[in-house]
Amino acid sequence: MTIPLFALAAALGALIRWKISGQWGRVGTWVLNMTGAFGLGLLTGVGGTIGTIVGTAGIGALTTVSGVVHELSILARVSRFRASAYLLATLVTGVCVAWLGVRWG
Amino acid sequence: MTIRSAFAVIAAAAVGAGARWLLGVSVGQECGLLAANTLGCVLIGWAVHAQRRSFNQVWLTAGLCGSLTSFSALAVQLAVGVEAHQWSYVSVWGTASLLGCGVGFDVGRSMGGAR
Repeated sequence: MTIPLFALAAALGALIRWKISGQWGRVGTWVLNMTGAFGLGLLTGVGGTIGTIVGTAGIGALTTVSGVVHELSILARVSRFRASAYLLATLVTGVCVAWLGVRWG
Repeated sequence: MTIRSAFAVIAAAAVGAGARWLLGVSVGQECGLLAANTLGCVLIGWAVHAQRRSFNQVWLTAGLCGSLTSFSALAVQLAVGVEAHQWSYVSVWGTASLLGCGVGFDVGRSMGGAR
């Protein structure tokens, strides 16, 4: 039962990301990454099957690094400053909200 | 969002997330995540430059690469290091991830024929 639920959670996360990033672009990716980082931080203490299905599959697939890198490469062609700002906003804020999640979890 | 694309994204997402989990349990969480994120960036660099068909781009980028890589896992890994005041751990894994993803994307672009 774990494998189908794992696949389902990953599919759900990817579909939500695809839909929201497609509509809102990099802002959507950023919002999903921050939400996912906070959510996974909350789940830090949760192990076992639930942690794997919800955390690794669902939230893991909801957030993306490759999407950020791709968006950075597009932004860098327009403005290196904006690309740096986006990278910094993603990385620093992401670690901060994940830390909040870890503390509250 | 066509039904065909949605099914392709669903299948690719399951494979991507499964591969990330397998890498984590086989080589350790930190190394596995670094490998998954780097590999995903190589793949997306290649896919956006080599694949002209939008269907292939969708399942490769949104499905496979998106699920193979995980920002939340990286952020939590670094946040746990911050919480434990392990600054060298945070610096090493943060820098390795940035370098791995940046260089990986460029390698993928080159493989895809980008100049």
